[in-house]
Amino acid sequence: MKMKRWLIITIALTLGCTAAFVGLNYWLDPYCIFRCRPDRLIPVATNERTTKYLFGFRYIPQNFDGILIGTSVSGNWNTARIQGYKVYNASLSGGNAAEGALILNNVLNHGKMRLAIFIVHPAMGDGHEPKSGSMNPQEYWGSLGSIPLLQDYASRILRSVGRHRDECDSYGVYDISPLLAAHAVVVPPQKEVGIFAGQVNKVAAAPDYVDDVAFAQYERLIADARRHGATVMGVIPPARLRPGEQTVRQAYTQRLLADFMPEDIVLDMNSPEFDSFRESPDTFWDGLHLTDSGADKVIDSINRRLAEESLR
Amino acid sequence: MLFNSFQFIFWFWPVVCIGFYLLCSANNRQGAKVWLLMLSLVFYGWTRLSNLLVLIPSILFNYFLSRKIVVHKDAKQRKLYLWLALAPNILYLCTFKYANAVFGTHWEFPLGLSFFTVTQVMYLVDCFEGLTPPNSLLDHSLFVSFFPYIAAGPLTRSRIIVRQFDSAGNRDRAADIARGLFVFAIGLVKKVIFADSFRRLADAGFLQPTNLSTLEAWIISVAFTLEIYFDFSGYSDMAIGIALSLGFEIPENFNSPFRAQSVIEFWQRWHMTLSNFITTYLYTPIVRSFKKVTLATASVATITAMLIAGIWHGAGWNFAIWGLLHGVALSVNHYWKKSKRRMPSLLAWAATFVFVNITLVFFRAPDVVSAVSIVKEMIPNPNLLSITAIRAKVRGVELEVMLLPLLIGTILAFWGKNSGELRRTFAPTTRSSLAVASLILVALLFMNSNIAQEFVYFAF
Repeated sequence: MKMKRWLIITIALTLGCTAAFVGLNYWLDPYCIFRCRPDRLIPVATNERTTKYLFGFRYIPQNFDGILIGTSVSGNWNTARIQGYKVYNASLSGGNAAEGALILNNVLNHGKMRLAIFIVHPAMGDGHEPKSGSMNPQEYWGSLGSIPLLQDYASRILRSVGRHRDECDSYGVYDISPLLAAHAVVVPPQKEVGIFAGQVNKVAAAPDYVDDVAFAQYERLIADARRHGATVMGVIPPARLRPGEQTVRQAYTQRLLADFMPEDIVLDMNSPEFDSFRESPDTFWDGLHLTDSGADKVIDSINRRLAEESLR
Repeated sequence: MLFNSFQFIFWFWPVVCIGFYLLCSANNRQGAKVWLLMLSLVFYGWTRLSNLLVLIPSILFNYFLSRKIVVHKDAKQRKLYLWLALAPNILYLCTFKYANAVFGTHWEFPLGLSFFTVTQVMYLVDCFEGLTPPNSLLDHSLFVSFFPYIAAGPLTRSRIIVRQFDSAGNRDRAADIARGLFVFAIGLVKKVIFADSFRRLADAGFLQPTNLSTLEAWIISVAFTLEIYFDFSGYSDMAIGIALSLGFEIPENFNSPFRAQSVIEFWQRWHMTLSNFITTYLYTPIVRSFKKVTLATASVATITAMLIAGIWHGAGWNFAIWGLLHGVALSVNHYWKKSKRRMPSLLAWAATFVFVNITLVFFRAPDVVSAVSIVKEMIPNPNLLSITAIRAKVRGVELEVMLLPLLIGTILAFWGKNSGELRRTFAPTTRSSLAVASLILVALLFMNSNIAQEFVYFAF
């Protein structure tokens, strides 16, 4: 083959294959970014951070009118059961306010939310940087061809032959059954204590310790939702705490609650009203994360509070 | 602008090639040079325009001083002008390189400063020695700022590149572009697939260098050794490929360094243009300064030259220790060679690699304490085979993506053909066309995956 011919074929092949691959991904549009049908519901197959971030461009604004920002604590709260709203559960495993903001800002920039639910939990102030680099505007173009996209396709193919479980359903709700199966025996029922002990130590070392930047991010997050006309709701998730930890937890909770206005709705699942719920052996699977039945009871409480507010 | 960016591959590079060949076709050689100079300055100032304020004065200063060196016939005056030229260059480099460490300033290090300063130091000495004629201002500006090598080499001598300014583009252009594309594709894959995968693994350990098991300490140190090899040799291949696509031949920088069976051989295969610089412009003058050349004086010269090379890389003591260790090892290697004793090939290879690997821990670690901590953990200890620290940092999904590149990369680094060998055997066949197109496609996928990183040597 002559060099000139080789060069033309190689360049044409490279450009042609690139264009075809990009075109195919545009057509398949796995994250519902470019040509999203209104009735299309998509689960999170893998890479929850990237996927939920990308869903913020169009999927969430187009299909939902409410959003839940939280961490793994709220990951399995089945928001499809919330009445009067269609709420997407944008909780992230190990997420914080910085990552919540990346999703919420995306959603608010592309649509309108009627309801925004925020969990009121110290984990939201756990650092003020996103915990991975996989939630940034470059991912938008990555949806036309990237390694995470190929992983997503692979997960979907494996799912179709029963070899993979989606990380979350089309409402963003975690499927925790594999976790329960794996952790029922090995995880001690005091994981919350472990996380919280860190905060206690920080407070002991420096009584005025507060990650001001993280708290400011949390405050801005709530203010942004309110500014865009959403009804704001704060939910203090239930936790089984040892007696000594109550005081410190309350201090953090009060600090976070200060960001809510009187017109916002606050639901405290740690109030005495829910004592029997928290003490029930069916509520938690590790002292912090709820079982599905425990999560359903939280959703029932959310529904009750929303109904009460609508009657006012 | 990075070579491994979409703007470079799909916009900058094609525009440079088209403009250059159009001007060459119109027999406008001066225009072609001005075109290359303009685009080189655009390339250099792309990330930070203020970089040009560092580059342009350096070019002008060295141009005028080189003329002074050449014009004078008197040896003493020539030497005076040489030192008047060298001293500000060294001061200029040291100011940017060490001010932050010494004075606590927060200056950003200008891209490629170490490289274009060394390039001009070589030019000044060559002018002094009468090895190269003085450049015109246009030639000198283009020689220093030529975009394929300004950021991180290969270090190129004036007499090699300037003579090509009037002949590049006259050969079979399709052949030059095809070969250039082939070499570039190899470099791109080395960088975005292999180097960036090894980087993730290496960073997992180096960012928290305590409580590593022996196995983990070895994994992360080897990961960095392979990262820097793929990163820098990938960059060099891309630079060579881009230059080749414009009809320029620039020197090779790597020749399968991990096949070396001695430290001397390693430096003949690793960062070859820097090795040449150290030998010609540091070692030789130092050794000449002794009255008598013996193995002992040669060792002193070697250790001094390598120490300077270490300090050239950065302000930390870890770089000095890295250079010193290599200087000592090279001297020991020379004594060993003189003793005519032989070591079994496999043992020689293993000893060389282990030495290079351990010294690179000093090169990568943020400080000497961290480096020593990792080296200590490389010595077998009760925590022998655990990989919990790496697992905590590298998530499952990342590991899935990285695993294949890590395996293939390891095999290629030790046993694969190097890019020079591949380039020499390149033939325009359907197979090579498919291979290049596939390599570029896979590389583009990685580039678009939010894992593209800067080149390691941009920091030096």
